[in-house]
Amino acid sequence: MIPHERSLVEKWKDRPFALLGVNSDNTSTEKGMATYKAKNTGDLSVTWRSFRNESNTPNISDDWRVRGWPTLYYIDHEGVIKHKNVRGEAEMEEVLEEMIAAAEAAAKK
Amino acid sequence: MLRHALAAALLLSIPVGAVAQSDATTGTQQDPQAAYQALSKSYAKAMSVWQDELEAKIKKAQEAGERVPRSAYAPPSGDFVSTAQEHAKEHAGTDAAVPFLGFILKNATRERNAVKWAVKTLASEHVESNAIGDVVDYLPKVSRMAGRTARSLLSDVADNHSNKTVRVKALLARARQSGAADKADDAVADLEVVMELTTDADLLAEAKDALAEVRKLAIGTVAPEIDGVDVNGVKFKLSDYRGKAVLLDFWGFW
Repeated sequence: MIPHERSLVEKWKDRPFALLGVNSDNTSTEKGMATYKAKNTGDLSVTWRSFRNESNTPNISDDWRVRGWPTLYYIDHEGVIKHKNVRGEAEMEEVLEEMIAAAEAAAKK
Repeated sequence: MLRHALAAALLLSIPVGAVAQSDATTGTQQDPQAAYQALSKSYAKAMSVWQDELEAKIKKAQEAGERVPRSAYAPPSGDFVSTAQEHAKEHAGTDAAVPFLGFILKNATRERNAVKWAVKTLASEHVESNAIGDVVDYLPKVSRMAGRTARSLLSDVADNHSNKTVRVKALLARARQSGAADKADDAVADLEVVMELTTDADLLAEAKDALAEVRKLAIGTVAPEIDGVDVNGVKFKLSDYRGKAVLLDFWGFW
């Protein structure tokens, strides 16, 4: 999961794409932050930005009705939800490629 | 010991079934509404006793470094479901049976046969009554124990009942079920019918809230804003990324 996501960030770094996380490790606590830092290394390095899930009330995951982890939302350049929970690596790249192309086309107009 | 204490507490708190039966034999039936209230009340009491006991057991087990047996997590619904079933049979075929059938749907935790019987009885004897409107809300709850029959009964009431208010209640229940299953289109369709059918302010407000909730995260709608902080405590927003394709991933290292 994380290695593939990292490869997407790298692959599309010059195109209108952003991978954003909503992290549930309670990094506002010392213990949570320690876990986060200890694991965030090597193959599991996370190179993208995440919201703290608990930084909002209710938790962001509750507001978004997340029932299982990981949950994926695909949001286009206009903020519209296009897909949910597309998980296969090939399918992920396919739908994102299409969304990035749409963002580029809109930027040219 | 705990188990015996709990059993004794349960027996003490449910004289309802026994009373109703002896009354029935002497020809003076207990008022079904009062019987229902007594049953609900004693069940609430038993549940709170059970919860306290469970908390105590968990605490004790934690202190001793032991595991709480699985059985401790089972709520004491069995006796109450049986009592409700007796009442429902006593009033078979009349509207007075419906609240007891509803009680079974609402409170059964593993009494599969009773649930199946209750759904079947509602479908065969009460589907056209107005009383069924008060229990349709519980049909989605029993999807594990009587999924297919409960779904078809709910749909029958939602699509065909002659009383508009009853239909509306069933449509709201079905929309909630669809929404929970991520079937936003089905939920929206039902809620739109609700808006056409009813002028009742409370039901309309419920439908509007449900519609907003379903639409909020549906494919094709604008994602809700996230205005939060990152893992280092720095503020940022989801809308900062407009113009880009965003993959939003709810995750954790755990």
